[in-house]
Amino acid sequence: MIRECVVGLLLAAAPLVGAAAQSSPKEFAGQTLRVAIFGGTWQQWQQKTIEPLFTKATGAKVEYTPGAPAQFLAAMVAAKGRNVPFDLAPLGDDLLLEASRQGLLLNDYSKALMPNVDKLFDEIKPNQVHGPSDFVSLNGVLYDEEKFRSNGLPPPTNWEVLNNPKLAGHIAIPDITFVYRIIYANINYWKTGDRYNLDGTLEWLKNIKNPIVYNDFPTLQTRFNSGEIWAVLGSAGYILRFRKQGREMKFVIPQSRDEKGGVTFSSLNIIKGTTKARLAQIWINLAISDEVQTSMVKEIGFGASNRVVSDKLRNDPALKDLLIDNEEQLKIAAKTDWGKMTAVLPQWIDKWDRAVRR
Amino acid sequence: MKVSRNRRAAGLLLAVPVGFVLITFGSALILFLLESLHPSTGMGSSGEGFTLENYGRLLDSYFFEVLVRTALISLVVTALSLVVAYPFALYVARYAGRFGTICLVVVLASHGMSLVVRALGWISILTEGGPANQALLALGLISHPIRLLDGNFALVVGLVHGFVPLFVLILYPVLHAIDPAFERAAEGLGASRMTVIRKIIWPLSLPGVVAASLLCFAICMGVYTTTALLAGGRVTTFPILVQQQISVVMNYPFGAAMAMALLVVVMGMTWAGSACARWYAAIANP
Amino acid sequence: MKRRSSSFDLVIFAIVATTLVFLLAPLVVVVMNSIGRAGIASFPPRELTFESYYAIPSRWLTALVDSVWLGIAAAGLAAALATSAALALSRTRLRHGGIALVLLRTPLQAPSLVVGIAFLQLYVWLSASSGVPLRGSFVGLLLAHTVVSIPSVLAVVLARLNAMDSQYEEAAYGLGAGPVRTFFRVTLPLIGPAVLSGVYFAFLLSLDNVPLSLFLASSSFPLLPIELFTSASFDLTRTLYAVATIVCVLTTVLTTVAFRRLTATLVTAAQV
Repeated sequence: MIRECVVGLLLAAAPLVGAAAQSSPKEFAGQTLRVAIFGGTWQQWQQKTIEPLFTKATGAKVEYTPGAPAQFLAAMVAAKGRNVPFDLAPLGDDLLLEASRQGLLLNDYSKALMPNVDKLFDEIKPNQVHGPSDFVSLNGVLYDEEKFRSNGLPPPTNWEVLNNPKLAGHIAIPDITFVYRIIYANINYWKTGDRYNLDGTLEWLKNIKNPIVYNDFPTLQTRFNSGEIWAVLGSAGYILRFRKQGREMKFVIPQSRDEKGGVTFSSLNIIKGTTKARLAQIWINLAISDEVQTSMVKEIGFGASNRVVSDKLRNDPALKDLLIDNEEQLKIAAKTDWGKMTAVLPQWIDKWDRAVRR
Repeated sequence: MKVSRNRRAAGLLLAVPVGFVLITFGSALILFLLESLHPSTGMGSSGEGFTLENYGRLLDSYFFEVLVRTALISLVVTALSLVVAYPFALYVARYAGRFGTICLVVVLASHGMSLVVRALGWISILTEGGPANQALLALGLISHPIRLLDGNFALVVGLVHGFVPLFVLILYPVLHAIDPAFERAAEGLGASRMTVIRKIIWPLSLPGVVAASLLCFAICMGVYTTTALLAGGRVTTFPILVQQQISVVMNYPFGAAMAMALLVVVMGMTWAGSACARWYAAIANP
Repeated sequence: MKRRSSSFDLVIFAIVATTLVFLLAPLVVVVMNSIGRAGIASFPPRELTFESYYAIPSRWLTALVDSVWLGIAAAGLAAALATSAALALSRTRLRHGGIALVLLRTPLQAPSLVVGIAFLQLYVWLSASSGVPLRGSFVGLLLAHTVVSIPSVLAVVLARLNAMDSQYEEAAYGLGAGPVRTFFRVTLPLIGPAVLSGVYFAFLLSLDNVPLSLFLASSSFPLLPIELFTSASFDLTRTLYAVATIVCVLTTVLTTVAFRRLTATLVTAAQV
């Protein structure tokens, strides 16, 4: 207890967690934190940035389980709090409510271990449902400004623009099973005022000839490279990945009635049944630190959940599009009833399959 | 026959593998069957009590349509794979000599390439700016690039590419084992190469053809990865629906019911297929 | 054998050449993609380098070793079990042979994803009721992979046995050889190539089975296909193509060597 207070004080006092936690490396020596994580470049980046800081601070080791959030939730449900396969998992807002409802998360956070939580945007600070958010995703339209201009098309600041026949065969949209289906909630809202009813999107889709439907990034990437794609419904994070291909895409969140929503977030959650809750919080604190968040925006292209970092990087024109404009967007995101969204998902999939697939 | 004396030994030979599959897969399947009879109570979890509701939902004609489409695609893929693979395997096994080894290495290599990565390769080829379109343009067969992806065409191409090696590798030993003496005798009697193939080699290789076709069809009915990658989210097959329920909606009971239905259909069709093959073999070689 | 040059040769050669192009096309693309400049992939590559091969994370190599080990174990076990069943089914008329055959074939008829989930549920149930932690363990993966491998070995071996006359075995029995001796001296050399090609299928099926392992693998026993799959679902880098190329070359070389042995076995068997 005393030790916790001391550590807490040190953590609160020191700007760099690494330096502070060094005072108690023995507590965690020999332990291993098991982190569920997205694979690929994301995992490599975390191993490069967070892991060294974490090891330095705690002396503990890290073991990764790469996968997708839905897969993590499945494993958590199967374990039901016993012999959980990892201590910490990233979950998007679409899965958080369900995980929380089934009592799979340990929503018990210590401010002392995670002083950086103060720097998060208010709406995505930890609460009874979820842990601290480590990134926000801006979901909207990426478009090739050159192609739009040469075809006499305005930037897609409203959804109607994408219905232009000149864009036939050049628009990539996410499959209904892909995470960015959440964009359809905005289109639904724009078309019918009811974000939970997919009919709005299907109506809008009728005027898009030959859309390219992607349900994974590699497919999108491969087809993007061939030049047939002029606009993508997806995350602003793709800007950076396309930039590495030598093609600059612009990003915009189209207006949907009174809203310009389209922000979702992911949070890092400690799994109920873990014995490494304290280690996990040190990891989370590092993940939302200024240093790591800055690196995340620059290297991965995800939006910072750390307000200080977000505000600072917005001044950089190359990074501006990757970060949220204002907290209004997060307030709009908070309006979504995720319980309802989960409940309508089977209907969405069913309607989509019958309308878009053959 | 002395062999009958070993009936008891044969029973034991069969009991071990059957026991193994029953204890592992059998019990897993029973748990899964039970799962399909529970109501769903949220993502990844199911409640107490038993219901047939999950199977009731499958009575929708939509699922039947998808099942028929899946079976059609599987049939087309099986037939095309056989058509492509048989002459190839025949050549490699009986006529090719040294060059046959090279052919075989190509088959092994294409079979050894990861399915996911191979599908990405096909996307690169078939995409609008890709080599396939360029070739068609150069040959003057089309005037502007056409959409080769996003439909049954790309899916069938990808699947056939996956199954040709399977066919070749099953047919190769079968064709290779056919005694050349038959062929020489027939040729000596003045039969043409085609006649030899039709009258001697084909009937003798029929067990291999049937085995490979049934295997191909059964696997094809359950293919998910290639469909997800190459059909561009535009073709629905039954495994896609199962995957959606299991991985996205996480309605395990309904997903389990769909999987059970698919399993029963595939088993039924495989059984019918092998029955047909036996019947054909019986009338072909009385 | 004497060869007559004819239109038959021409036609079959055209067919074979087309098939070769078809088989090689995506492989060429993958290899080309693997030797472009490291980072994100595009086709055709702009500059050629082997950077992506150096960028392969060491974790993937560990995973490759684990996957190969699992594949060998599963294929070996499946080959033993399937050959045993095939012998019983083809050489005697057993009362429940038909049912046994259906049962042994079933694991391949269910989509792999379903088999994976079914095994996951079995392991969860086992660990809850008896504390046996099979989930994420080598044994847990081995059981699932073996079950799925049995049908393909069975199909190949059974086809070979059915196409083969049982006169050799009967001759061996007639000469007083016991069943074990007959199997190892007569039957096995005859069906050896079929068993080997069955093992090869089973091995590759296991080596590249994403849906089966997706829910059964764990961080303590990482598998390459799962690592590649999860990596690809986040982004696409040339490293992915590089690893796929390496695995492809390795399996091809190994199986080519095996097939040379196999062809030799076949020839000697035919001469006996």
